[in-house]
Amino acid sequence: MSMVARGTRRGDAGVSTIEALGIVVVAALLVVGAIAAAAMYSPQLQAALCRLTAAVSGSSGAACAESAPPVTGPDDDDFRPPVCMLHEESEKYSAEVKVWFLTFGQDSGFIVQEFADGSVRVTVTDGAGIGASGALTSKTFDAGKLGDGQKAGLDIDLGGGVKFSYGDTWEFDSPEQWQEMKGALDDYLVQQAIIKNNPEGGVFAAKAMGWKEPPKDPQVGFARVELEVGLEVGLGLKDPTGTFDEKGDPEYFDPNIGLTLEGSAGTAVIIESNYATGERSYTYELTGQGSVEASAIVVSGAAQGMTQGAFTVTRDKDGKVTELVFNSVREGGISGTVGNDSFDVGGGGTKESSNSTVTTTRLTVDASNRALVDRWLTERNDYGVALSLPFSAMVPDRPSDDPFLQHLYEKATTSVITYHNVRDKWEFEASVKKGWEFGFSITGEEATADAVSSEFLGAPGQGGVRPLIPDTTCVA
Amino acid sequence: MTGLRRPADVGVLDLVLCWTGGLVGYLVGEYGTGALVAATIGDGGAAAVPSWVWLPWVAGPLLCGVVAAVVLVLLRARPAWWHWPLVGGLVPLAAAPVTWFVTLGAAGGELAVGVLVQVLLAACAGAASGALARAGGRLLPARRQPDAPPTYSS
Repeated sequence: MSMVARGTRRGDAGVSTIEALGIVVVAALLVVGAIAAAAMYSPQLQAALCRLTAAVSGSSGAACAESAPPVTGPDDDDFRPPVCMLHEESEKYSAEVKVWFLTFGQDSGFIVQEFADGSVRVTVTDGAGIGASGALTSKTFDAGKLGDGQKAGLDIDLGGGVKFSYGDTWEFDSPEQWQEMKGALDDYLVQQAIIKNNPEGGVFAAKAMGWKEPPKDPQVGFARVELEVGLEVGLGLKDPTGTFDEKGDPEYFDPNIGLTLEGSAGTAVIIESNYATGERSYTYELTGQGSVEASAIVVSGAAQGMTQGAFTVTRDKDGKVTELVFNSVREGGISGTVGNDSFDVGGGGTKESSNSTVTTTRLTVDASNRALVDRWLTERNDYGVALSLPFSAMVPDRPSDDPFLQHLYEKATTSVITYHNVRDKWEFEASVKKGWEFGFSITGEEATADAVSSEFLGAPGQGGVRPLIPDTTCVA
Repeated sequence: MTGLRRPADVGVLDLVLCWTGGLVGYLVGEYGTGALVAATIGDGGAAAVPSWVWLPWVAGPLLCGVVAAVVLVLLRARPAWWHWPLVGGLVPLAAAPVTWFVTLGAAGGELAVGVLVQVLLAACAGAASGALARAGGRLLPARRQPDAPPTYSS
């Protein structure tokens, strides 16, 4: 018995030890799990504890609602316009040289544009508009020398079989890449000159000097078509979604934009084609007298001079709209009203007449808003002839009852760049117009004006108004 | 005269060594003068191309033929007369497809004429070098023949 009792005691002692160990492990697991749960479900847990406490204490528990995560609306950076152009210059390219008895190449030139993010766009021209200083003038780029898609435009022959079309454009990530390509182009032309003038043996010399590849193809090209054709292809009104008149003829977008801007006779449409992506941008140049009437959309006060505008529709390779851009330039610092609201559009107040303001509003179009944009593009106003394109679309700074304008208010980016010391009004306007033809962002035109301020519409603030905020990334 | 009557003992390995030497001469001649042309042009562009831009075309095969012949002489073999143009002329011919490939066919039909001229130049350079070597007599001792195996005699 004693042996049995002694054995039982030893067995009891062993079980107790194992049980104690298990209790410790389970307790540790519970503590760890509780900490993890508290960390993961802290708001919910707190709310549940709050409700439990309220139930026990007999209170209502109404204050125990889970605190929702703070909703962050769009901030100013969400409305910051795309990078603006910082510097532009023109270079005359000395392709016209005599090699032995042959003239090699012709006059040519490049328009080189540097943007705030360091990227560079280079456009080939015939160099005819480039003065001795290399200054950029409205003559530097002549849209009249562009082809129309059917007929080729002006050919720029750099010699050695290197030919580009007027307006062909390359895009580079940095100025160094452009300089590298320019050096390679020079070397390639030398190589072609050697081969051309020494057919049998020149290739060996060229090879021995290091064989040069031909310059890469341009990514972007420009064409110019008449307005009617441009409307047809750019706005796609001949597709099944287009509208037809009583005779069954397709109706076109009439650029008579209310009372504000109208397409003048002979207006052309500039088509910018991105060969790499298949994107095409159709830019419609619009002009209107500043002396608009009361219903007008631009300025209810006494607007001076002529207002020029441009409207660009960009479509991807499948023909879907991907971007809308509204552009305008107006001379004079006029404090007036835009739309139905007061807006300081220029330098403000009775400012110097040498101020000019360039306004650009850009709307990115994707699947979420394409239906709205397509509907707007095919919309007609009350007269049944004109697309409703109020000029206030240029500055969508406050909410609107119109769904499209409201969408611009919610999504579009708008930059307003003011220029002082416009030395030549005509030249300045022509330069801006050239910018539209290129599809450029527009800023300082050294030849005619200095950009002194750059602002953009920020996120909606008090009263739902989107204030103008200095854009230091463009003009410091 | 006696050399012509002697059986040639230029083996395949000898030819390969000569062609290798010829290739080195070809590359040095072509690319060396090419660098010279490039340095002359500098940043002057197409207008600065010198009138002697044909030099790489000619210098490569000439140096090829000479170097290949020198290697043949150094090998102390007993070549037949046709070995001299052979060791020089084959290299430009073999290099022609490479040139076509590298230059993306830019030379077109003229490349055939260019290569033919190079082959002739290299062959002539090789033959001329061989003639000079032969005219110079046996300046170098003949290739040493291995000793006869020892024999036992009782």
